[in-house]
Amino acid sequence: MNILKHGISINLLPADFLTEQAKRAKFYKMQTIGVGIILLMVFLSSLVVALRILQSNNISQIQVKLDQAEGKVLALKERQASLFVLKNRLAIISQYLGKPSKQSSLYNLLDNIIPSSVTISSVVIDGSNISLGLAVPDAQILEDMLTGFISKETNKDMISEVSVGGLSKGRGDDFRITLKITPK
Amino acid sequence: MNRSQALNFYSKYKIFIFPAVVTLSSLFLIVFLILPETVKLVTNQRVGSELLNKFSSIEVKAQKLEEYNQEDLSQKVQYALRVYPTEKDYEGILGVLQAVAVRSGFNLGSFSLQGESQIGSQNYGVSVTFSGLKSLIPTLLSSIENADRIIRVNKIDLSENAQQVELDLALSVLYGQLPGELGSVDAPLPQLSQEEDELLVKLAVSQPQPVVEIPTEEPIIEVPRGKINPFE
Repeated sequence: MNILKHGISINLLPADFLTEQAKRAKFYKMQTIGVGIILLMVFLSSLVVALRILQSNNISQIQVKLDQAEGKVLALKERQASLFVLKNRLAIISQYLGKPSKQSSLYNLLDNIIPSSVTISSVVIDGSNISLGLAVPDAQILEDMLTGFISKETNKDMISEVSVGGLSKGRGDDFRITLKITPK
Repeated sequence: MNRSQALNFYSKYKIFIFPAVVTLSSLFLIVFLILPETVKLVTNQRVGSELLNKFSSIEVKAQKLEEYNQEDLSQKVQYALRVYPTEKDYEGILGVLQAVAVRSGFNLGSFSLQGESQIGSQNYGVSVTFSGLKSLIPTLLSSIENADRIIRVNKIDLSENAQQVELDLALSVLYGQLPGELGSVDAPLPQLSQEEDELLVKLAVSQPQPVVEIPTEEPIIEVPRGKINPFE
């Protein structure tokens, strides 16, 4: 008990009691904070557990839907296999079908360059070489034909080298010639 | 220690015991419950998203598969396998080359089987001899490379005599095994491009080409038979 009289404060309570009261107040404060912390922890734990339960339910539902969708796809696996086979086959077919091989293209080129008056005794075309055996009626046709082989306009840039293997003249103006052509 | 002693002990040291209990309990809850569950929550969120994405893509795939007609697909597969079979078909290729010869106005002379060529795909070699007119050789070569099989011309050996040419061709006929894996449940569905659809139409509609008429040197003159007026 504090008595305030003319500015003098007198505390008549015993010192032990005051100490005890202070301790109790301090403990009460600590207790409040402690209970608050415990309640917060319990709240957080409950929240996390509840969210996990919700999440597990969601995931289970998605898993069920996923299993159903996978079941649908499995039921249609024959169609899927057909599509895979088609794609596999068409990839190769489109690469080759209707596209002339190099050898065919080279033959067609020679067919365009060699005049009809020239007699072909032999033609051998493989991937890397062309051998021609020709009988040419006269020198002008021979020159024109060789120019045709060499000129990029007529050879469509498909020929890199032309070499004469053998050249002989017949009794008249005709020539027999063997050519070796290297395609590009 | 009896109850009163315990209570006395607690009363004396409660200012230390109580905070210690609160701290330990909180730590226990955080370490064994809140933290692990929070980590699982975050991890499972990612798992859930992945599952949802997977479900969406598989659902779309199932819908697209339902749009296809199985009979139509099977027929298209047959067209493709006819042109690019899974195995060597020696009998088939002979028939194809005979048809090509007839269509192009040539005679098929000899036919023999050879080994594989190095052209980047599985194949078997065929050597054939055709005889016919020189002017029809481009037609023959085009017919071979547009035939009902994938055939590549490897070598052309031409020799000409008085009226006809003899053409020795070394051909490669392609074949190929089917892929081992024909698509798992979550594999993306292959889409056919417009070019591939057009190619399928071409394969389906591949009709026999018209037979090339061989020009003859002498015109055929038809002489009428019998009486002009049978009643006389």
